Amino acid sequence: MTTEFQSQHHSQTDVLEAEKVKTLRRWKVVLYNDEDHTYDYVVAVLVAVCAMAREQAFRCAVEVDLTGRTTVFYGPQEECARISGKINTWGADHRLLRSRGSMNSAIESD
Amino acid sequence: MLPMSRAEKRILGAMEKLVLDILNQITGGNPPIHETKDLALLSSRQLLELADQTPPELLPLLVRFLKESRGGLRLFEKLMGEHEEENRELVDRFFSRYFQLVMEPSEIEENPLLLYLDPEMFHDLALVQTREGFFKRQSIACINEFLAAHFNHANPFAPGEQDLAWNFFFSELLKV
Repeated sequence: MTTEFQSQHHSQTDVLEAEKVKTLRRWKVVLYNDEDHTYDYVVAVLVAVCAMAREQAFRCAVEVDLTGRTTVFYGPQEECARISGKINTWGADHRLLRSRGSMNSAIESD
Repeated sequence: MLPMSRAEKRILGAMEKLVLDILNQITGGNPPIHETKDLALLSSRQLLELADQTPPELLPLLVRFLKESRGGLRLFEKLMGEHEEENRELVDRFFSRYFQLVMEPSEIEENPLLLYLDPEMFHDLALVQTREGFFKRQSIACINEFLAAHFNHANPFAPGEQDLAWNFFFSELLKV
């Protein structure tokens, strides 16, 4: 059974925790679509750079293909900048001769 | 004679009509599917059920049509089942089937460098240079095998010497 004090304490902790999560997730990395990269490429990059599971990365690949953009990471600004930098310098898709560079991503405040 | 691009367009148009007819048969004409934009009008459930009944060989085409229907984010939300628990099984099955159809197997037995860095590319240094990241991400065993196949490289590189191996490879190309 929860006392009134415990209940108040919990709600304060919850608020602090929510604030902390909000601060940590204030920024996001957005990946933009183009026609020079395959689903395989997107999945490989997101698995390696964002530590996603292949299935999750595949859903992002479908989303970016259908909608033009997908959010691939949430976190503090510095971490998002690091992740976006890695995506933008990953290199061309070796499966496509016409592919000559990386995909584009950018960080945005959430 | 028609220019190839126009002939191709006609073939693609005919193929599109054929596939849309098949999709229309799957739904039994309820709702009717005569144009790609009709796909964007389907509800999430209707779309997922249609995808579920679409033969594997036509599923990538269905996704292409969805892309062409310009439904954008709304369409993707439908493919995600509007995040409703009751659609979850269909959503998982759609992504799983599509994944199996369009993705390379995770384990390719062939050396990726031998597979994708064809000697015919070697004269195009600008192109080869764009493959630097791909080259350096390979295991040193793959790299040594690739260099041995194309160059007289007697001393194999040690693990962690990907940068040196790349420099060797590119300097060999510059000699040609």
